[in-house]
Amino acid sequence: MPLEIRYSKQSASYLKNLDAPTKRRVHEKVANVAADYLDPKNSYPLEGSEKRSARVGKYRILLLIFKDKNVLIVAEIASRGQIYRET
Amino acid sequence: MALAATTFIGTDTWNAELYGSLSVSSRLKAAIANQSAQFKIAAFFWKTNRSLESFFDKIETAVRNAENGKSKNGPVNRANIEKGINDLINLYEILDSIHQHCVRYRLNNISRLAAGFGGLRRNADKVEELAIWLQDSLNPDFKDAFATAQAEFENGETVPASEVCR
Repeated sequence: MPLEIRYSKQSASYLKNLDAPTKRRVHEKVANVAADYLDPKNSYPLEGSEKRSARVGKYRILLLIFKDKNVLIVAEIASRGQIYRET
Repeated sequence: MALAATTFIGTDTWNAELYGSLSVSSRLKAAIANQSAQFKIAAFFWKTNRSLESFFDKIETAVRNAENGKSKNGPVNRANIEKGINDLINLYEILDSIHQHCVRYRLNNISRLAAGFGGLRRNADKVEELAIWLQDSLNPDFKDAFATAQAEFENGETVPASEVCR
């Protein structure tokens, strides 16, 4: 059963300011994660399986999963920086 | 850092897949720079994309196994991850420069090469995504965001998707 999707205040307000196609792509990505959050094609684990990261274009989406409550929280949406070399 | 999935980094399979991809993409870059025949470049596009997709498949399998507790690899240290990130950045830079060469020589307008060209761009973005994911896992600047979201959820302040999607 897919997880129930909820948005943090930051992610909800960030999403409202995005253009319609990007907004749709973010919704699709989040829905895909909610359907199968362990699928690495949709998101990668950051800390355990419950804290995950997904990417849509230049935006990074942080996802927090409460498996016991069957809820997925979109914790943060942010434009991500460039990759840089580790020294 | 609790990232079991990174145990794949630095293994023989990782090195074989990554350096295989680096090798074939460097040959593609050389073929474009030498203005080789279109068929040769098309073949290198195909080989490069196939090699990269095989690499991604291996990573996804490793991530899935690690999350299901089936990983056979031992723990990995920070230095190995940093080396892995730098290798991924090297690969990304080669793929990105191939993309720029193709645009400069107008190879992106040739139908014989278009599919390979599009696939290469997608794969380059995926390599970048992997490097960013590993960097995020080493530099967890995301902890505050998760803590805030958790507090909002516990206080019933999160917004349902139906309200955001309108």
